Amino acid sequence: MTQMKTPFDIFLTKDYTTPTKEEQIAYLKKHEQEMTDYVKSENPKVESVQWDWDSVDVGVAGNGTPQGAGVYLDISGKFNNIEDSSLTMTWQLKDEKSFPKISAMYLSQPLRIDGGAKYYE
Amino acid sequence: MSNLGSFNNIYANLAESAYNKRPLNFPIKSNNKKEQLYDYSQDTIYKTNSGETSFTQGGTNLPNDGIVYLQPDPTLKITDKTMTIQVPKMNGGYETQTHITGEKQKGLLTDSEAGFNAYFVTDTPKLNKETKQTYLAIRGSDSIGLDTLNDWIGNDANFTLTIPILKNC
Repeated sequence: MTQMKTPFDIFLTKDYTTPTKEEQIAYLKKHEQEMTDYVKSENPKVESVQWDWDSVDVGVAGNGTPQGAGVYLDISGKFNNIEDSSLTMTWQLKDEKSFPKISAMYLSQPLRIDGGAKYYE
Repeated sequence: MSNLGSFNNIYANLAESAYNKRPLNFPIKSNNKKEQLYDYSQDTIYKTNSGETSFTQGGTNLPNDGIVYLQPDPTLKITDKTMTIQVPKMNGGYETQTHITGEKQKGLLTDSEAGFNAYFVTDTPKLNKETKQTYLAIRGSDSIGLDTLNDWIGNDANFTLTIPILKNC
């Protein structure tokens, strides 16, 4: 349930509120260190991560069916202050009303440099 | 959700990568300026919302050892979608106001208004005489929503309802 906005919210029997992009960004920013530590644990050459907070995107995975294949949140970023680097961190969400469980994060794309033309090894 | 268990089939790999938000997917907006490397011989991790971890195993016996490059689309143009409305003016009369309501992409491989996305993939960084394999992956339909109605109604339903032989099904 997202934060109660009025005292009458206790009478709501169903939660219709969906976290906004800003709320998701604020939530992730609180866990920025854990996110960065995870990337470092995946590649010890990473010393810093520059998260692109505006890139936070929540959407349904496609698989050719109308219902899709689950709701996912992505965020992109760069690392080690390399201008043409890129990475993407992803969480599956329980549903579009949820915030991610931080520990369920994973890099859905490998670390890339050179505008994407090479993997960062 | 069923992701591929392994990347052993290059065609299945490209088909899965063409969808939105799948492991190792192609970018939803095809606006990269440079080729993007994808290596299907490596394991790719993914997790459920509770943290349960799975892998898509790296493929074996793939052409070019599973290495492909997603090529940029130089014909791609990204423009604003606008809405024009007539608004009454303070002292009488009307004026035309134009508002930006979103963005549209159009190029050889993309037509966001028609709900079409395709990806051109090669086995060399640039398309040249060393290139042996080229692939065109066309995105299947993403989940239905306001932003994909153009695809579900304009493409899928239109196809199902207007093909004469299917009309009698």
